[in-house]
Amino acid sequence: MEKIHLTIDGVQIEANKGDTVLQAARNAGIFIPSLCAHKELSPYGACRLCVVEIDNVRGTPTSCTTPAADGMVVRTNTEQLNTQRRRTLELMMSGHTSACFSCDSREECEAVKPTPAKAGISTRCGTCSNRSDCSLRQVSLGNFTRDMGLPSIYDPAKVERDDPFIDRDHNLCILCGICVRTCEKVHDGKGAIAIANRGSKAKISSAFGKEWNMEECLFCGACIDECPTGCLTDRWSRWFGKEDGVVESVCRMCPENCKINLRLKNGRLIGVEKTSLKPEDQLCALGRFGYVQILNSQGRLSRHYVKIGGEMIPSSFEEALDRTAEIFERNAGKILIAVPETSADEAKRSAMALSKKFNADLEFVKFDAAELSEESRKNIEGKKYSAMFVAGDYVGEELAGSVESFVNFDFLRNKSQNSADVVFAGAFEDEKNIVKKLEGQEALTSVLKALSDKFSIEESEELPKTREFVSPKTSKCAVPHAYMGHLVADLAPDFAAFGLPVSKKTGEEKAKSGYEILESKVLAPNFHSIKIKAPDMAKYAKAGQFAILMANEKSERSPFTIIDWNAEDGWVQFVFEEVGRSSAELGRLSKGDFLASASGPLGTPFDFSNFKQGQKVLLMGGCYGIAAIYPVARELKKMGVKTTVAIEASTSFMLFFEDKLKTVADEFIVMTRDGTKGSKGGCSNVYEKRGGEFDAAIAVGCVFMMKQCSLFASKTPLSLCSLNPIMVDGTGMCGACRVSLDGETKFACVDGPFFDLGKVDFNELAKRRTAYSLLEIDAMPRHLHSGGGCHK
Amino acid sequence: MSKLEKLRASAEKEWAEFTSNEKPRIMVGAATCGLASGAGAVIEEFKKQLEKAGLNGKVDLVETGCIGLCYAEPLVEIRSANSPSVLYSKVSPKDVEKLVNSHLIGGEPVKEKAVGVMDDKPFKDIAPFKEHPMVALQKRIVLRNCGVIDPTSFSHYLARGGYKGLERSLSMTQDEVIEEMKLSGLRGRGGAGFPTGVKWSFAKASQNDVKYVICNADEGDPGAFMDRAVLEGDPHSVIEGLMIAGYAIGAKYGYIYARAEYPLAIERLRNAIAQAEEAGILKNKDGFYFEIKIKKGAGAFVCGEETSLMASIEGVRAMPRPKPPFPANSGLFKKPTNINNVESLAAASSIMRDGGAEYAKLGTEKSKGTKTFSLAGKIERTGLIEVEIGTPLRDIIEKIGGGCTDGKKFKAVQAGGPSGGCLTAEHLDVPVDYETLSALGAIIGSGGMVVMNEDSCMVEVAKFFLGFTGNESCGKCIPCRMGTQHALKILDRITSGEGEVGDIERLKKICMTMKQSSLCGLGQTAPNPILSTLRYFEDEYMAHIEDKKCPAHVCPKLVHFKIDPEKCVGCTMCARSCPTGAAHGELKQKHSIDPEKCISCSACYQACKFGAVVRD
Repeated sequence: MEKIHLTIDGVQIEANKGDTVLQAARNAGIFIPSLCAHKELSPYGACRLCVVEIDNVRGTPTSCTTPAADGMVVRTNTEQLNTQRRRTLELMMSGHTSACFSCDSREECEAVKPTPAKAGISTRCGTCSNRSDCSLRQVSLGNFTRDMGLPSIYDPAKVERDDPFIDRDHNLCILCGICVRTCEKVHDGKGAIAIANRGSKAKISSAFGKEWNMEECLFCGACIDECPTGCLTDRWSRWFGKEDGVVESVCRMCPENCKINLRLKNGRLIGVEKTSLKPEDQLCALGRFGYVQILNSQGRLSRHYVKIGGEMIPSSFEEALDRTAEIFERNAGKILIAVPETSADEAKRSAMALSKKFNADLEFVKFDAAELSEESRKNIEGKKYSAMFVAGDYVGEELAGSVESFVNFDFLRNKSQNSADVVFAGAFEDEKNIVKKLEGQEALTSVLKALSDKFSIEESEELPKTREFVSPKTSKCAVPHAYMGHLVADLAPDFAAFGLPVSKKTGEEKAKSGYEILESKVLAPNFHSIKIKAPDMAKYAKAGQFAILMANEKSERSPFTIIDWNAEDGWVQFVFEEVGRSSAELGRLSKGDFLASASGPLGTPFDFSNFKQGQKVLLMGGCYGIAAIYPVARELKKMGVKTTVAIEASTSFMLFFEDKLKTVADEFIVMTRDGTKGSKGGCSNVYEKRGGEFDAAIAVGCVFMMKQCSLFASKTPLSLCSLNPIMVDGTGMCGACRVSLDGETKFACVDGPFFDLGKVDFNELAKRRTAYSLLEIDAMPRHLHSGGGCHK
Repeated sequence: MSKLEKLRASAEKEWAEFTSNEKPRIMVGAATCGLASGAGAVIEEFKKQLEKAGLNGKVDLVETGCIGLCYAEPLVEIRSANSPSVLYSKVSPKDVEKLVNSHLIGGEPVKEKAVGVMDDKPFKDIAPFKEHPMVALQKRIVLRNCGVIDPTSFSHYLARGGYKGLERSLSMTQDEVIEEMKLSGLRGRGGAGFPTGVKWSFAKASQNDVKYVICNADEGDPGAFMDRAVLEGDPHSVIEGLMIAGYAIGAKYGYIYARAEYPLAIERLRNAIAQAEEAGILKNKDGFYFEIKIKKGAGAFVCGEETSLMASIEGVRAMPRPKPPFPANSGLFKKPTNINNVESLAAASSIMRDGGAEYAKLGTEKSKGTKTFSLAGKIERTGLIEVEIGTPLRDIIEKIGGGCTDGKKFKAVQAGGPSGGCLTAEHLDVPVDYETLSALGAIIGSGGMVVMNEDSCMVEVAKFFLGFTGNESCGKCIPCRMGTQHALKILDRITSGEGEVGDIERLKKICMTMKQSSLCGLGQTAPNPILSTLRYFEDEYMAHIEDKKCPAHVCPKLVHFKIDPEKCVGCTMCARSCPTGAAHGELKQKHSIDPEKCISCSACYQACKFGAVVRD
């Protein structure tokens, strides 16, 4: 390849002719920030961050679109360029949920919260599932100041979740066009998405702004894999974060047998990706989104079983194999072997060899069948066989029981196993070989190979030809209904949106009776307010108390502060943040729905006896605490205490309750972490600067906010906080809400929730709150779509 | 071209007949401007009156293009044997009977409706049209045929020297044509002012079997209608220019990208293309083969940007592409492409007929020739004009345009549309040429001139243009997409009386980012209206921000109305005009305005004949 020479930042470098200045610089190890450039996609020039100065070239061209030329003199790092980049980035960030970028406490906060909160909507890095793998963060954090001076532009209507598999939040989109270009590239120029509309309304869209499922989109997921922000996300796997390993494998869901990359984290499959951006390497929706869900289904088998004395006993592989061999030998001539046609070639060869050796009938079950062929079923009913080896969930309990001996292989529990003599688990306890552990089909090869080895059978036979089939890569309608006899949509319910059959209905159940919701409002993204009818609770509620709520019978029990109540009318108000399954379920209830359970008031009421008329108190609220300090402030104000209410939020659009708090505050202070409203910073800045003016301070908010405030606890004679650990019963029984105060153990539910701010071990509290973080991800509600029918 | 020679001979005969007074003729300006002013009804009325007078078939009723006096539409020229031809303005159907009876039949022109006589000397106290103030200072090259010929007539164009420029070009080598264009000094009339001949030489130098020439007729600036007038009034001049460009660079295929909002222009172009094909000029298999396709644009401003325009022709989303590669090397369908604006091409056909040197005699040292301008806004004589480049702004605004409407004080003119900037009263004596305007923060651009008087709020003007570019931004690059949004928010704040100290600095910062970092011309020039109004009217911004006052009394939230009881006579006009019932009072009693209900729409202020409504 022809070489050219150019000077970048005073360094003479060699580049290939045809390279852009950006490529030349990167190859030479010179960093130029950029977001829309993608090494496999054509130059685009939208983000304007890679601007450079070139001798004898007017202005500041973008290096991603400028071809490198021999003798060129390029500067990438001048004051002018950095100013330009910073300002462009500032503009970009104003249209992205970027409060964390400009927050002065980001590092400390992220040390306390190492993973993002699983919020309903991403409003900043701290609630963004893409945090661990975000190009925007990398570029921004490395190069730019926190001094962003523009208001944030945010539109709640830009969150789209009506499609299967993919969540889209256009508030995070920077319109780098990578998804659009990727879609075009991987679908041979015929992309399903494009940028629609102009100016501020411009956004990534399918044709005519319809649901993607109604349009050409095949849900190959390539766009998600390339999206540099958290705009396009895989709803099922997003909260697992970045993988710690990738293993190449093959998808066995249909005869296409695509190459896939398995994304693993802590040995667990968290996602499947294409192996390259070449059109032929793309995946279908089942491979991209279904595979991971199916293999993560509840009911995975992890042990082999052998029936001994009428009981299924967990056994070793060898025991299971011996029993199977015995069954084959005993029933020669009267055996049916059924394995999926999508099995590995080695598995099929072994199956053919076994069938020859034992004069057994062999069925390669059609890849999308949920049961055996009619012929096989008739033969079974006609008592042709005395033994069956079936890999998959193709026969029910009854048919399985109709033969003398039944061997089943499956990666999941199935009903035929109730009548089995041997069950092989399609998941070996083989820690070293994760892929084998994950793939039932690979394990089938081991079983059949071990069997044929046992009988020393030669395997040389030709494989039968694969049936003709339509690749699911070309049409959503061709996505197979079943995998190893299991209905796909049972295991990955989003597939119902393609019109795939389900055997049982899934989805959340709403309570049919309980505590009626009188009002449900969204105060800010993720922040909900509900008023419920609970006359008894309203009668006894006192400021500072909480209640444990459950949206439905299966919900987690979660504590929420009582914000307001009215004994006469019998209602109680709660404000909560959507940060996981239970709060999401609560947030989805609307007026007229019911809460399954609401127990309260719980906890020790706030002790007002420490306060006197004329005293000055600083009340600090962040997140849900903005609402939680309201009842305390109201009572204090009634007592004649001078209240200074300071609230903090990450950014202007996350503030709420301002008008309500002003009515109970003698002084009202607004702080935002990015400075888009009020002053820049948090409540702790107010406490630090002015703590000496007050007789007492009360902080309610997230662990980090209270931890920050606790540093200044000595500034006031009295300082309090309201703790929010994980709770179960809320009555001092379980001990889950244990907190440490100067080494002394207290139960937040009965001893609190208010404690001495200066004494709390916040690090321990933060750690205890993450105890179930992985299980919380598993519990996240994911199936949001209920539509049906195959669209084009 | 013997066929063309023959056609030209008969065309000349037809033209001679057309211009003679032998057969009476009524010509109605029926371009979009005329039709919008009611020319259609006037034509119908003429038909009726001619029939009534028994003159059916004896008088030609012709529709012509726009002669440029938009303020005076509908314009009607009446030509009869018994008097010189006279041009009438603001003709309504009720005037028609008199025009027919008095002028056409009686030979007595209707003086009160007359604009001028189409003769060298006055006729019955009607001054010659060419001495009309709007016409006298003009130099019409691009608009040479507009309003003069029947735009649907191929013969008219041919008779007036049409296609001679093409003939002459074809007799020269490609390089000679390009040299001739360079000699003329013609600079791109679409806005950027890049020398046309140089541009052609780039595309000529680019080697490829297939090349394209494109005529950019996606005129989108608010208040600009130069291209429309040319396409509607003289479509062949553009076709001829496009063919010359095609010959010069070696392209066989031409596109005319016209916005769909110009249906008449597209119809006239279609007609003209069919005529040129019929005459063997286009799709000529024996000589220079050239064919033209019309592509209708769907009304996106960004399609005026060349790479977006080409994307639009290709059928993909119109977004600018980074340059390089430049269109001359890789343009439409990745082939070498030359793209020129309508006016440049219309000028090219004239230049190639009369020679580059002739054209270069006009204009200034660096800006040769003539330029068309559309005069709009608060100016007495709105319309389309063509003047020599370098004409003082005062001549354009005051002499040609007749100054501001209602004798109000001239405040500024927005030159160059949303990408341009404003010129103020202190600039009235500067020559209008590329360099001078650019140094003052404005541009010639495509030629839009929107005049503002003392009643115009400059912050509001900047907001208007920014709102336009913000809506029309394709959204591709960050500085343009986000910058317009933030700048608009700040301007909105300022005009609502919520401006903060520091907003001007914020605006300037955003504007600089857009200018320096945007991908295409739309974003780079979008802040110009802000920057130039800030440059000349910063005190007006400050009045909004600090005093919460709009000096021009335009911004509704900053202007308050009350009634001066001294002057109020109780005529009820204000109360009757008020849409919210804020202005109220009994007949012959002093009226008053309820500030709670007042929406500052200014209707009462306009309605009061006694000056009793006072603005604050």
